[in-house]
Amino acid sequence: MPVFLLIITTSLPFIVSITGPAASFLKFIGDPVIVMLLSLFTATISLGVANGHSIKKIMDFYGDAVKDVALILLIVAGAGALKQIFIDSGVSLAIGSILQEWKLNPLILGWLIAAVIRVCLGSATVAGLTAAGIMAPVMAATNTNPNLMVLSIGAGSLMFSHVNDSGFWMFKEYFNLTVKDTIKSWSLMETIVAIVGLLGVLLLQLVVPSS
Amino acid sequence: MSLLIVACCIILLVLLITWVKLNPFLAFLVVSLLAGWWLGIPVEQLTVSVKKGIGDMLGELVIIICVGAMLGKIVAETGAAQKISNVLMKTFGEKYFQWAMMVTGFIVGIPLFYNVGFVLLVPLIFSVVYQTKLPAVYVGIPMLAALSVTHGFLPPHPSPSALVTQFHANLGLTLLYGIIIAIPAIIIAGPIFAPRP
Repeated sequence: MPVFLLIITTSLPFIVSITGPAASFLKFIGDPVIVMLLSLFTATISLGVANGHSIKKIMDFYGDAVKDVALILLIVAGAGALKQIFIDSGVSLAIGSILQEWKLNPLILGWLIAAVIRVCLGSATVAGLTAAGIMAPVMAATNTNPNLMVLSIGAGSLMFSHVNDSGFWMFKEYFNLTVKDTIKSWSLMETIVAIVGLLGVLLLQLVVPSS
Repeated sequence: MSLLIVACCIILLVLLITWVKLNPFLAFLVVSLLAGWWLGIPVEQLTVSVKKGIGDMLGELVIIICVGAMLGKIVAETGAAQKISNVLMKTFGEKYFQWAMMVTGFIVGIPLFYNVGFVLLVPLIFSVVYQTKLPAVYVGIPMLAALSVTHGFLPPHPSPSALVTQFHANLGLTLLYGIIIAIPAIIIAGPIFAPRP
């Protein structure tokens, strides 16, 4: 039962938002916020209450869950602040116009910026968000498909996880490996994901319309 | 010139986080203020920009990220993930268990945040290792590849969700394209790449 529920709740977001542009009610239901809330409500009842957990205990789980993501939220917020500074100072536009003269496919450019920041910084989240701040004006000027841009930057932000990434250490510690073996398995796996991801984006670009 | 300032600010951000070991949120704030001042935003406007940036970003994301975290937590705490993997192991059979691990990682990875998923799935990996006597890396890589890809590509994970907001992309379409791209990426980085014993 939970298997099916999970598949339904996770596939719900894109099924609904694809078929929902017509009716405004469908649009409301298809809004990610509502989809998430509905999924949570369903999961609370069917996974939580139906399995005999008290509401209080479930809410304790939820409290813990929010504690786990508190720092991520703040990092995202901080990236938002930096992005706004780049926009308000007009530098985003300047960068955008310079990068456009490079005549490089914006999707590759986004991937590259994300990958460079990721390798320097370690955090995929920070790398992705910073790259997004830089690429936003370029997006406005070229008609790149924004959905593909998200994926391209997302792929770049996974590039070569090494000693400055917490995921690297988690893998090393749990699997009890040396740093060298972790690089050969974990880091290489992340690199493959990043490169195949970019290739996938470029192939998809051939078939889907630009924005 | 402005490009150079941006580059310096990014390098400073990297140094503050990795070398000074500053909390990333504080590092972003410090660098934002410095960058704004350096790029010529009037001093009295600096905090206005910073607050607007934070407000816009959180306003869009706080519900999705927090509710997503709650959803992941309940899936983890009630043992639903364990059940999914048991069903898949039976479906795929012993011979193709790597594929079972991969699909589990993918299905569990969509709603769960990376660290939660990792911590949740590792015991599962070791129970399979114990049963099959195969190396842990060989068993674990397919699942973790799937987990990484969902974390990097697919909303409602924090980073892709934030990117969707910034580029005014369509969350549903991104998820659809993301799944199309994720599948080959996971297969290549997972079962194909994982070193055979």
